Amino acid sequence: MARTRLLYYSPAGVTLYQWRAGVLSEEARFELSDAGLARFADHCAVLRSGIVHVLLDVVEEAFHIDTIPFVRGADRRALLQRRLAQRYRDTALSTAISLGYERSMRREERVLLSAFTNAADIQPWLQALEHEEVPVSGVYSPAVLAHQLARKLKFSKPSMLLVGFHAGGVRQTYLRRGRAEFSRLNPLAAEDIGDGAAITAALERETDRLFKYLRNIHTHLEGEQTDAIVITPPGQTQRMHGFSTDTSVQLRMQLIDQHTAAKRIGLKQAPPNAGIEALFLHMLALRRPSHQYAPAAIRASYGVRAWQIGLTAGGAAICAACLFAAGVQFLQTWQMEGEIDADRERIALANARYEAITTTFPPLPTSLENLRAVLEQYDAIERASRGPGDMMIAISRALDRTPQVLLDRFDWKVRNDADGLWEVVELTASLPDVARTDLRVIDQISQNLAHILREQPGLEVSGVQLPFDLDSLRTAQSGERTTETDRSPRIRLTVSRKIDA
Amino acid sequence: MKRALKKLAAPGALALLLVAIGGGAIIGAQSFADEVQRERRQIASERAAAEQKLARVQHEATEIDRRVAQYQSLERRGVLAEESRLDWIEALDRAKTAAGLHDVRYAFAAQQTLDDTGEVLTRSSLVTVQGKAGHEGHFMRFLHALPREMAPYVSFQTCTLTRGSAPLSGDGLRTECQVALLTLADPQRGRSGQ
Repeated sequence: MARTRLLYYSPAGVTLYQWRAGVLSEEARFELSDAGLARFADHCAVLRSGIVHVLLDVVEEAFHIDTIPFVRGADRRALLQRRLAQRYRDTALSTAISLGYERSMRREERVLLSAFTNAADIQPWLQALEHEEVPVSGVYSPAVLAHQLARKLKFSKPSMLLVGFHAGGVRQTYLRRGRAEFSRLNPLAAEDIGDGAAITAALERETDRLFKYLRNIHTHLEGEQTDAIVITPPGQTQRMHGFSTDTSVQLRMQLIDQHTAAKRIGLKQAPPNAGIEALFLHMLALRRPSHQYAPAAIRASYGVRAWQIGLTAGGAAICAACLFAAGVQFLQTWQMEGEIDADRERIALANARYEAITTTFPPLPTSLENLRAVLEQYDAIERASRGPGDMMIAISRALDRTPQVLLDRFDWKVRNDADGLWEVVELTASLPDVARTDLRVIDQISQNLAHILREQPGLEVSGVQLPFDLDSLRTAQSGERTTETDRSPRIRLTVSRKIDA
Repeated sequence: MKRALKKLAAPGALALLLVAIGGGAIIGAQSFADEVQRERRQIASERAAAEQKLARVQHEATEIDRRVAQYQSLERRGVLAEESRLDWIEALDRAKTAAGLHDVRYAFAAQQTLDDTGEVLTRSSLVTVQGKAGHEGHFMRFLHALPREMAPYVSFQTCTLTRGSAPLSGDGLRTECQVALLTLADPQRGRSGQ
């Protein structure tokens, strides 16, 4: 994890902080002079290993609300750059923040143009960082962090003032709909710094003054109450309870002690001499705002560092996920091996019991498996086999009861179909005592024979075929041709019986 | 840009190495798991077979004596034997004589194996027997005599009985039967099962 450093630039000097898990500690302090800059440049070499966030807390910070036509992409970027250049002489440290769109037909966009107007004083410090290729995430102002801080303090209002005493003086930020629209730092006289009463008086005076100014330029503030959150120096809250200004009727004051505020936002420890800039620095370390002031050149090393961290972290994350998945897989496999061992034991046990049982057997003529197979196959053969004898006896009994019928042909076979095994007899018989022309008698004898056959257990009779067709659905025709020597009519029947396999 | 890319080379290589290590671990674990899974399936199948075998033998233990007797009976009868056509022809003649059939002719088809899924094989020889009988009683006697005289198992496939033109002449019935002579072949026969 890259070390997080915060560079705080204010009229009082430049302070380098380290931040880790909510603890802010001072690493080095540099005075605003050539000597201080030189010392800082020397110190920059050690900053390469971490990431540096720069917070500029200076008086020379300008804000201007403008409107631009509805454009997107590169056109918008070019237009904003042009507007910034028109507005500010030096745009080296500048930014444009969208404030939303006008509810008009043209849908013009409201933007806050902001810049540090004394970039020339700050640039050498940033160039020292750039020269040493220190990864700088960006240059920020308390204004762009103010909403984040107010929200963390649970004081977020649609229209509000955030006021507090910084190392360089009194900082006031006007927030509207979650965006800073104005911010300024009023430096205190050197003799007032450290004097609680003077600071309190300054907070009171400057808040009143700013609100009057805002009321002049923002007419909507005229008739409505505005919240003002004042973060007081440690131990000064009680003193400020009598806080009363000319505008106090419209300003709804809420006071919060700096230590209480620090606790609420999760800042565990800060240097004792740090003002509420410590709160802003903590917010910056926790989460960078989407808007910052630095040009791309200063942030180049940060981009590379971000890629380096991203690649390494991504690779490590993928590796960890894969190792975890592989671990889970190994665990499951290990459990599976346990099951295999258990199965092996059961096989050994079954084999041992098998051996124990077979030793009690008499001498076998073959292997136990083949003994079983031979008997099973023989049983299957026996079950599927039938001789024609039973069917012959059954048919003989029927013929005994129909003396007019003389058996000509008995055709027996075993049929294997989807229903199972059947023994089927095609029976051909003649009626010697019946005239060929006596169709009604032939039919009656045939039906009688079929009826008697059906009385036998399991016998089914189908396909009774007479010498002529009586089926209404077929054309009637005479029976088979006969010779002079064979004048008796013939009938055919199919008799079947299921073999119980 | 070139310089930035140069700075990214080492972390990029490290990331690739880490991904390769992770991928290798996954592939290794999967391959090992597949192998163990295969082994597990095989062992599970072996276990099921062993337990089934044990269950069967536990069931059979009570009637092993009866089964051995049945097996030996099949051996004695000639069902569990090699095909011996000479014996079979003699047996056919005996059956024919006992039944009173005359003008008997027979034809043996080539032997076939019906079931060769296991070690024990069922073999079949199809015989077509034609003859003449004085009346139905002769034919019935033949049907009974044939299984009694023949060593293999006799399985009738078809039988046709046709009345001739002169029923009182003594050769009034023509008979034709197709019979499957079934034998079993056990390659383990004679080797003790224990």
